[in-house]
Amino acid sequence: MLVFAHSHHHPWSSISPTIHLLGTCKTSHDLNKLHARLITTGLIKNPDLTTRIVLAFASASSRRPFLAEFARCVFHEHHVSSSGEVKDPFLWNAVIKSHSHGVDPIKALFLLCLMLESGVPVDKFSISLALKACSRLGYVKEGMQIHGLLIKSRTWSDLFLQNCLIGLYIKCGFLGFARQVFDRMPERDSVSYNSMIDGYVKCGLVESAGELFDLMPREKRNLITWNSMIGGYAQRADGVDVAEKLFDEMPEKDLISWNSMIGGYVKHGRIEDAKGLFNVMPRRDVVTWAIMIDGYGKLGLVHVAKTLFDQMPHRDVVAYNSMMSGYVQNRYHMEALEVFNHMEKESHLTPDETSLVIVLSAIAQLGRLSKAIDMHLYIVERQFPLSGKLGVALIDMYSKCGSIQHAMRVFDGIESKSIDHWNAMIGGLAVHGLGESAFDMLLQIERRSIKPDHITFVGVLNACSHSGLVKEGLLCFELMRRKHKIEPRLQHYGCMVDILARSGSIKLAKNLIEGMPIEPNDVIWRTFLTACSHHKEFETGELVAKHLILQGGYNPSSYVLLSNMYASNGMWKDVRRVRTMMKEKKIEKIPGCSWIELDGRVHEFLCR
Amino acid sequence: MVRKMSERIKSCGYVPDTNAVLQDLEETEKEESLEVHSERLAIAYGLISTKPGSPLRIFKNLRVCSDCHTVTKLISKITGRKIVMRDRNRFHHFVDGSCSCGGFW
Repeated sequence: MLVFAHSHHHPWSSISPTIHLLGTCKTSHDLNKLHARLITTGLIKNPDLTTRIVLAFASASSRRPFLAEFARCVFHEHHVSSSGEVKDPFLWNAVIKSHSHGVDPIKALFLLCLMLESGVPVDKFSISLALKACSRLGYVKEGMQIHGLLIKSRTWSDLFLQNCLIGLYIKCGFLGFARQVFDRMPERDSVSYNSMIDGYVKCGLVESAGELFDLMPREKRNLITWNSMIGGYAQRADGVDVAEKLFDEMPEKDLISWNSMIGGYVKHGRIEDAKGLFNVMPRRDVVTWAIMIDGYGKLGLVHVAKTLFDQMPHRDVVAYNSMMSGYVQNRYHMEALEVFNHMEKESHLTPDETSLVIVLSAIAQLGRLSKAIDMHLYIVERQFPLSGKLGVALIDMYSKCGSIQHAMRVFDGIESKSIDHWNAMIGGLAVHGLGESAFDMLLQIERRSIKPDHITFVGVLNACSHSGLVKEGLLCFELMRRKHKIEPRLQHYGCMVDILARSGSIKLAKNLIEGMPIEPNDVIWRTFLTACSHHKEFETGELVAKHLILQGGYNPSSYVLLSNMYASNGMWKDVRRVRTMMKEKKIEKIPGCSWIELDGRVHEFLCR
Repeated sequence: MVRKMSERIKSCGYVPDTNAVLQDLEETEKEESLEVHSERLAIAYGLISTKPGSPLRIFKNLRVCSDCHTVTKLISKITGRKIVMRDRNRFHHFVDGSCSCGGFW
């Protein structure tokens, strides 16, 4: 602003320097000072200046929104209300564009209405901008009104506008309307076909997309068309072969084509085919590597995934996340932690929310409290928000590491809790045997009129079963069914059987199992069996166990429980029989393993 | 250390619950097999490696057997230490001879 004081001629007697000066304003404060000067010198009344202001600044970037505001203000003051002026849509379009591409698209529609009311002729740019605003807002009814306006005007058959209409209807989910516009177009181009095909694919109507693809003239097909089709077919198990054929037929391929094909193979377990393509690709990008690593991880081939990971030239955060996720899914928790440490130290990458959630779940499984506290500190230092998945993971981790106090503190510290946070806390209380507190949480949820989901009830029922709260458990079950109309699933029935059985009401438990609307699974039968052996209901127990074994289960627990029961009755011959059966079927009892963390190191003990 | 533990808890009236052993062995063999259940080894190691009076944290991948549960209760009483054990289903907090699970696990 020193410029003003020192210049010898007023910069605002001519237009270009004024515009330049306005453009250099860094804050709205500076702009206001300039605006005031323009008003007091009367220069603001110059229509050339105001026109140029509007054109230059209406679409100013979001970093300096005050410039766009200024342009709009100038426009409204000096162009809208003045009468007798040449009605030129060009200026109006500039301001409409600042809204349709800016923060408040609905104002674009208001401006269009104002334009029509003021008698300014609407041209095809005005309409295309208004349609863009409708697309962004998802307003189909308003879009249809503009469509009507378009039909009445002379430019209704304009290709660009027709494509805008198709885009609008597809974005709003009205594929039928889009297709009608498409069918009635006097001429179509690649964009028209591609929009329709993409719309069909995104709605899962791959066959319709395929039909259109076949109808499409060859010369109009471009890379986007082929990629959409491959992407669409590759997502379906029965479509991978079709995608393969298309992939081989395409005149040229790009990175997206290769990645889509590999992604399709990986999704349906054809890792060898994926590897084949991976080896012959002309160029790979981070997405390619990430798909392969993720694919091997999901198939349990973690070591191959790791080899690939080590070979990768430039790893990014997604690659690290895929590797860690692969490790955690296959229970290699220590290795996942190592990868995380590597991320910061070697690659100097900043973990994102996903990385942290994966690491927290690894620590939760390991139960290492010292590491848990370290990670919590890390998260707090870098100010990651806890209101989403991260908060849930943190609560769960502390619960599983044995410190319900830490979990509680985190829970209390989160301002906007979602039902997921409550669920995690209830789950933590359940495994710590604090059934009354868990039940109390449910009451709190009710009091605050938050909607519980089926996971909430699994947590509370679990808590009741671990604490022997039979009354509360039954109450909870009724609450779930009657008040919240949530249909109980297998886990809920499992917990109920557990509650009834542990408290000795074996008959009631059996009635519940027999009365279940869904087929009880082996977990439920095993819960019942444990209770039988505990309460010495030998006959019922034996029947259940035999039933389980007959079902062809390969779970060692059923056999162990049966031999338990025989052992507790001293029936050693039967114990040997069961053990022999296990050996024959090659079912091995999982060896007991305990570990203890001391001074940050873990010591493991195996028992055979 | 494991031997010492066994002697001390026996002197407090502990009788090994050999019913928890599912193998057809002689009584003494059963006792011995109970003694080396992994959680006991972990507890023993913890007892010798940490300061007296500090809490112990043990993790087990399976459900803790009834005998080890009893033993751990006794150990917590004798040594006056808090033992936190996470097994497959839940946490057990052993303090001064009793467990937070109250027998439900």
